[in-house]
Amino acid sequence: MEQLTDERKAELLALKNRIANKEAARKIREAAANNKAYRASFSREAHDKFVHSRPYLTLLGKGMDED
Amino acid sequence: MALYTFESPNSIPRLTTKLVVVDTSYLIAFSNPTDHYYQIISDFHQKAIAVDTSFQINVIVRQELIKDVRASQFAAAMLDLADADSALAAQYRTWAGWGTNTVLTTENLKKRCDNIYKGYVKQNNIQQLLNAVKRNIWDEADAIEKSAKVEYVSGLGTLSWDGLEPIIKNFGLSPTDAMILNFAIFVEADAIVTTDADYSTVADIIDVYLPERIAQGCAVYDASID
Repeated sequence: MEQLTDERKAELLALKNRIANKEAARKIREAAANNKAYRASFSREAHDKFVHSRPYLTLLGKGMDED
Repeated sequence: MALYTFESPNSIPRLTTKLVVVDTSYLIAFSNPTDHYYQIISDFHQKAIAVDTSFQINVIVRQELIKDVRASQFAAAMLDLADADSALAAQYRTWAGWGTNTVLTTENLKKRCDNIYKGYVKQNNIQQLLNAVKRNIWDEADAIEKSAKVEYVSGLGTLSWDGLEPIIKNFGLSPTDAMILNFAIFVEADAIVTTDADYSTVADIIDVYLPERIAQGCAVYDASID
């Protein structure tokens, strides 16, 4: 069997990755489309209640724009 | 592609049914009611969810959130233990590399919690600290994701890593920010939501949403198109 050059190996790897990425991107979009009911169950009041019940989350109490 | 703000009345119509990648800073601000941007993000998030905007996180954001929750819970546990034992408080100062007069607070303990954790490990006494942690760290991070209704599709972590070098070289982002941008490009996301001004440098290749106060400090922000 013919030996693959390093350059060819790299091309094949890049092609394989591109195919994998397309499949992965499709999976993400499909999941997003199927998760409408999950998002619709979001409640601002429930989220506020949740985070207020977690005092350790407020240790810093400052924004992130200083980074 | 452009830099937009959460507060713009045009942002919600623009993002209707769109796929948005969440930066860690957005999720952490939305987990902390005392964060300066909590209210702005809370308003935006509620309206966006109502028009079926999808908020996606990648493996990097999930890891950073877990690390933040872990550090916060350890800091709270460490302060409880140090308050009850002055010898232990002195030990913490040594492990953290602080002077004897440093006042222990949750804020500074959070920053050095890894040093103190390693001190416990070296003493083979880590159970003392773990017993003082009040909640399961993994459960808490998972609960924050679920409460905010951000979505994580497992098994796609590799998307964050492939071809990362050009992203770092071209945009000067930190490695973690570059991984989040890389993921957004691969999944062809419509935008990135963040409170980190560093992302303004990539607003010519993907829409970036920031709080107005931060956007106004960015050279690329154009209020007339927001």
